[in-house]
Amino acid sequence: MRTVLLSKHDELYLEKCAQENQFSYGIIVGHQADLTKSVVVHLARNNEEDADLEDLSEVRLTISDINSQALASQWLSASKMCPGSFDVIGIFVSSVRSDVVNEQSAEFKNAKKLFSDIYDLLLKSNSSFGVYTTDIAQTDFVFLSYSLADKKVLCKNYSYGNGGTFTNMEFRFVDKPFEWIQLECSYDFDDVLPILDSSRRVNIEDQFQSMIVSVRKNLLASEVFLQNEVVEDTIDLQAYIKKKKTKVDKLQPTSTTGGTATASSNTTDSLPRLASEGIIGGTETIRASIVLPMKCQLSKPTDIKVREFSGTLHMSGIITSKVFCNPRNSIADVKRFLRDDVLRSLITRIQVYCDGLTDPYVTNEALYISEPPRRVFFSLPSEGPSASVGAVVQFSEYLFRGEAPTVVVAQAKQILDVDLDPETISVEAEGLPDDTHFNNCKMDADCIDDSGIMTSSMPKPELSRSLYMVGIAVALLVLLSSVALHFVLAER
Amino acid sequence: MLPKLKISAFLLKRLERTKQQCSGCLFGVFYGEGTLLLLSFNIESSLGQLNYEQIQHRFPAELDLCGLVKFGGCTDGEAHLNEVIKSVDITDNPILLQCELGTLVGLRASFFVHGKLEEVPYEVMEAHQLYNDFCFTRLQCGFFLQTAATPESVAREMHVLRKRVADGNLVFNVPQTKIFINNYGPLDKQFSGDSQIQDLIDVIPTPGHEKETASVDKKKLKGQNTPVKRLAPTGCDYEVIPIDVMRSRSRDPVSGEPPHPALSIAVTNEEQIRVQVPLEIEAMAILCRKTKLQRLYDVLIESICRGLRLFELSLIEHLTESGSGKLLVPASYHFYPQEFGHFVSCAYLEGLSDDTPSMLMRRKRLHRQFALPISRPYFRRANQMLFLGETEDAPWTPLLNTHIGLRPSGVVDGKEYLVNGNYHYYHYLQQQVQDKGWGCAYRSLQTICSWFVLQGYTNAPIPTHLEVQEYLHKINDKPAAFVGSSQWIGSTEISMCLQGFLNVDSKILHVASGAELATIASELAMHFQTQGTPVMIGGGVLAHTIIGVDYCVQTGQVKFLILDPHYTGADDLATIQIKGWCGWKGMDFWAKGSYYNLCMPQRPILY
Repeated sequence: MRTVLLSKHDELYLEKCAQENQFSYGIIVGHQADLTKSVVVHLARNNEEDADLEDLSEVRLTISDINSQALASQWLSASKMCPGSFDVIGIFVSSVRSDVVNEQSAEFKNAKKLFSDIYDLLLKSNSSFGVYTTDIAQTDFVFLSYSLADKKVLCKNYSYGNGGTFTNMEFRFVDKPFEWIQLECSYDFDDVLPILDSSRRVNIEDQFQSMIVSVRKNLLASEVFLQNEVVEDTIDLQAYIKKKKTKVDKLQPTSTTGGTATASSNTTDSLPRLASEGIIGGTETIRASIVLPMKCQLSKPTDIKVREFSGTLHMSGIITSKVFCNPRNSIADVKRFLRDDVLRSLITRIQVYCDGLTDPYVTNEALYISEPPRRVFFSLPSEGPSASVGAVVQFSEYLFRGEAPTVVVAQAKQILDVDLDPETISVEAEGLPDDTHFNNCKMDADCIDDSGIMTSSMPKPELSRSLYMVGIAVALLVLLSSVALHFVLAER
Repeated sequence: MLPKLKISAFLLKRLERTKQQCSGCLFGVFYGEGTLLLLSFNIESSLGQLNYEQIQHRFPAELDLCGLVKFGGCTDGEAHLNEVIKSVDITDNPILLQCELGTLVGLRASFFVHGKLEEVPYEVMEAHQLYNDFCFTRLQCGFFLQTAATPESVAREMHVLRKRVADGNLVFNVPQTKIFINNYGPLDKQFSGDSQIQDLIDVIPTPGHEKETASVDKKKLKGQNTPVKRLAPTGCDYEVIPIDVMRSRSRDPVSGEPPHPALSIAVTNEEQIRVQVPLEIEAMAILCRKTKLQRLYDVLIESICRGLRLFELSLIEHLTESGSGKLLVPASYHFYPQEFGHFVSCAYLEGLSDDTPSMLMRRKRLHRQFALPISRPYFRRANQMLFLGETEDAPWTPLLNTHIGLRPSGVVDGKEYLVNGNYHYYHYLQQQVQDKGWGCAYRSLQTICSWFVLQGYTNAPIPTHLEVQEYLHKINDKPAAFVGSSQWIGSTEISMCLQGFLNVDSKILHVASGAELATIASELAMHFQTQGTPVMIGGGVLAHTIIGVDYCVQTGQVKFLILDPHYTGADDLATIQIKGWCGWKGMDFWAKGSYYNLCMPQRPILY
């Protein structure tokens, strides 16, 4: 049975939602720590119905009144803002009434239908550009219900299929903050895909779809290195960090002032916590690199053949990836989170870009440059006691060229129910898209085109010979100058 | 200090066989603390374009141009001495070999030292030393070439690909392992800065058949003290390290500089039709086992570049010759001529069969350049080396070369003359065919056909008993009732079938009795020395395959290496050898009261 771990801050948030609105609902952003534990990272109230709720507060007080479309929209938007190690794992409701925590009430039974509706909406939206994960899509979700009257929380696991079922799920409010370890990766695109469409007008959305499929296929076959070394998949992140710390300590034998021998947490109430002094994960970011296999076809060798094309799709630039993992995550999970983050970010920015297109067909111009929005990062503002230690969790949003960070502020408020300061938004992870790269390619091609001769792989021995000749010429010049000077002096 | 000079025994044999006045280029490996090992040479034409540069791309990486060889009274001008010397870049002292025609007597080796020749002694490196000291890498990776179908465009785009290969972002991986090597060296902790290639070989698992190989290893280790070549493919004594290629797609941010630009996408409409050609490169390199792993990255990069060069030449050559403006997919083929002692790679285009006139011309040119006879194939597709792991999905095949490992024949002062090449052992009851008692000659024919297939003379399937009978009926040698029967066939029928199925001529030899077989021993010896094909012998009610003789000229004593098709047991090599189903037989093996006919297949003129 899975256990859901919440922080004290989450409990306060649920109480606050009930006090302010009498009935609130929203999404649960969580993290799969291991096979048995899910950590709640963030609770976000749905704010799309705020105005209506004030006027119709007596009517919209039940689960059946929840707008599933609005909730699915929030769910989808939040998924795009999450790093690869997090995802929306369920729904919460918070009410002043007590029947929301009563399993026998009719109110509770409506939650099953709500989940089913939302799941169907998510499936429909995912079919447009593909799934956001390189792993199996989840079919189990968390339903969290809070009653202000009873000060009680009900937690259930919802499984999709056969009409949907609720099963019991343990939950626990944890006093100690969760620990996060940050991993970063910068995925560099430099791919040229042929446009095999024989029609004159190119549907750019179809081409983007092919591009995403290609990238996803490559990511599935990729390998991930941590700190530029091969790490075994079966160990957990905590063991890896300890190994790295031991290695660092051996390299620095003089640093014996640590002395933190006490392991504080043997309790079952919280996840194991490493000593904060000297933790690599606590103070440093682990850099990862993604390595792709170089094969013409990863799965269909029989499709290798010559194909004609009349256009190309050239991808250039980077996708910055940041994921936040729990020390108990296995390295295999960490690698999967990184892959998911790259894929999710790619799909999100393509989707946001295509939503803004007025015409999906490319004109007959020789060169048509698309600038998807770039990724920016922000941290959740801390209120009261800190909910986590180690790395500060960051979410992301996407800005087009020329857009101001205030767009991110509004989106964060609407989707994640947080108030951001525009100055705290980090826009430096990715630079503005660079158009000169495509022009440079053309210039390089033009330069190479001038030399029609097949260049030899042998080094040019004439170069050394010419240097010898220059040296000899200089020596002769010096000699002649000396002789002339000698004669001039002799005449005097 | 001049490098220490070693010459491969394989190379010396090839030099000895050269009987015309000419010159050629020498290729060798520079390794260790200053040792130059000469491994190969090619014959240069006295007129026209020199071809040593193209030849080098066919060699594994690290096998580079290092000097010149002159045969007979060839002058310096005819040998293009100065031009070749300038092209040597792996050593400051190019090597010159001066060799007489048809003999190694008087072979002189000299290094060029500041433009003057300095004669040096050389050491011969025997085959077993080569196998123990060197290994090969075999690398596989894929590219997509996007180009217009013109030679200029192909050359330009291939140049761009080579630049991308050398940009330092590749990562090499041994398949099925977590061993990765990037441009800083191995990433695995078990390797240190001083690790060598041999350390890498020791940790690579044998591809497939782990359990089976383990038991075989134990047997070999008990009987012999020689090291086990776990990674050596069939027919080759070198170990070959498989390598996969990956590319790092991560760029670290540089502090103090603006961040890298975000993703942007450009859609370009091409003015002319272009094509995308998949390039599945297979590239090889030769390495001394004591080479440090730090060097492996650069060597592998060079091997990819050579593979790309081969593909480029193949594509452009086809475009130039055909004029069709259509590109075909190239493929890599690796050949291991037994006379060479190293691999040679070729790039052939799909859609062009081996018998296409252009392909025939190219192979003929290769034979001439490498001083190879045109009576046997070396570079046909069927001759390519099959590496470990590639034959797992192959259908059932009989045992290969069952005579290897046999005890000596016991002939005093004898000399062995054996079959030259590989063959499969066909015998009774294989493939669920109930041919016990009547199918021995058919099995001998199958063994002979397998020899021609394995040597690359044909791609034809091994004929079944029914197919043999159908053919004999078709040419009116047998009645219709013969098809599907259990009747014997003899040497004459074997020769007809070889002609019909493989277009191979045979020489028929007749002796009146078994006692007279000793009189043709010298002729059999000559056959194995010149042709090297298995021989079918039929007499009385039996048929056998002769795959060698051990013959003493002085005493006339002879023993025959017999491959007996009457064996009905399982394909167990130990049983076959111990029980004598493959073994040396004396004169008493043959029936004195029966006459015998021998079918001696002749090598066709094929290359």
